Amino acid sequence: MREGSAPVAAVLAAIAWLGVAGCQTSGGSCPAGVTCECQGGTDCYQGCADGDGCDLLCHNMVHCGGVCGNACTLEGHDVNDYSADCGDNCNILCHNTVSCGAFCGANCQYDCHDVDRCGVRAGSGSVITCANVTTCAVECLSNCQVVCNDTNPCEITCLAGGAAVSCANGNLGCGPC
Amino acid sequence: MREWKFGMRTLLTRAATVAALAVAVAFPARAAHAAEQVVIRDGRTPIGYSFELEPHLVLGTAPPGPGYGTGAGLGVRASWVLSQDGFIRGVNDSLAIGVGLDYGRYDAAFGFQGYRDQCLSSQPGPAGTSVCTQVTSNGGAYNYLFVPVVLQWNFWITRNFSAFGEPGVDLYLSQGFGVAPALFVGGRYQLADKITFTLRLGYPTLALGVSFLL
Repeated sequence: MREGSAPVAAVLAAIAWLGVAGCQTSGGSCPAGVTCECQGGTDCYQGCADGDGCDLLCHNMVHCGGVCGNACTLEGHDVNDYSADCGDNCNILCHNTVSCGAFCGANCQYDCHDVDRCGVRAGSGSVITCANVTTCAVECLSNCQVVCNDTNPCEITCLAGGAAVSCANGNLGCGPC
Repeated sequence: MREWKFGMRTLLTRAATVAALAVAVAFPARAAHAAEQVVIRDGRTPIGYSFELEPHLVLGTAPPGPGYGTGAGLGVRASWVLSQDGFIRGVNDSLAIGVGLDYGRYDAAFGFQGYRDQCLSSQPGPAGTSVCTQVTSNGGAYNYLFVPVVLQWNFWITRNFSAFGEPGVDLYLSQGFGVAPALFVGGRYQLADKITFTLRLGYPTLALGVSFLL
């Protein structure tokens, strides 16, 4: 090896190592069964490395949200805009934000309180609760129920057809109460 | 004006000394010899090339635009000599225009400040909301294509060593097109006749390569 070439070789080796290391992947940032928390800063969007069963929490930032499969728990608070996209049997909580937006599948429990706008599209068997919300708009893909307290307007759209019904307990719903 | 030139001269002499120290660290066996050769030449010495082609490795962190993390890649820089005389009389400097093409793959997991997953696509939801439906994993990986366009100001300090500064702009493509300021400083160390080892530090990338002075 020529005199003086050792430092160059060392730098090249370090860069090559970094390039190889940069191609590696690991199992994902949020595994199932563990609360994955993201706070501070500007934006944070969480995914579920295992697909289902994640517990995603974000708060105290500008925009945040979670994307998860089935049987997930998602929560966002003290942000401008919180977003949740979840499969079936999800439990979603959004509070103290400007807006809460969500898509969720069947049997979704969505709780929205102390928010300016809540917009939820939910599957069959879902229950959406809006409390102290300026505008609560829910689109039901099938039968579902909406509970509104101190919310005006509280809107429900039945995407499967038919008109929304007012149930005896004061809830709004698509399909049978 | 004369005071300004004198000040610049002093500054360049100090910079040359610093550069020589850097060479001494990188090439200790030749340190003494290199230090002896440090001089800002009074006369003009023909730089003996009109075009520089520099393939290099690219390294970067905290890229502009949507990317996160640290990355590496490959690139090439082509520089055409605009003038064999630079801005400073009595100093062996020259000017070139440089255009490059650099590819870098950044991984958020290797960022200095941690990483966060990003929303890749959103859909409008009820009540004017926006719902993110796809996110990156582990902060995500980001491909960048950079096209730096710079003015290269060279200082031919010794027979074996030259330094340069490169202000300019960096056009980039990564989930969209953008423009970022570019500022580099670097040096060349002669390996053979018209072939140099070239190191470039700055933003948004670092580069380590070999220059062919044609």
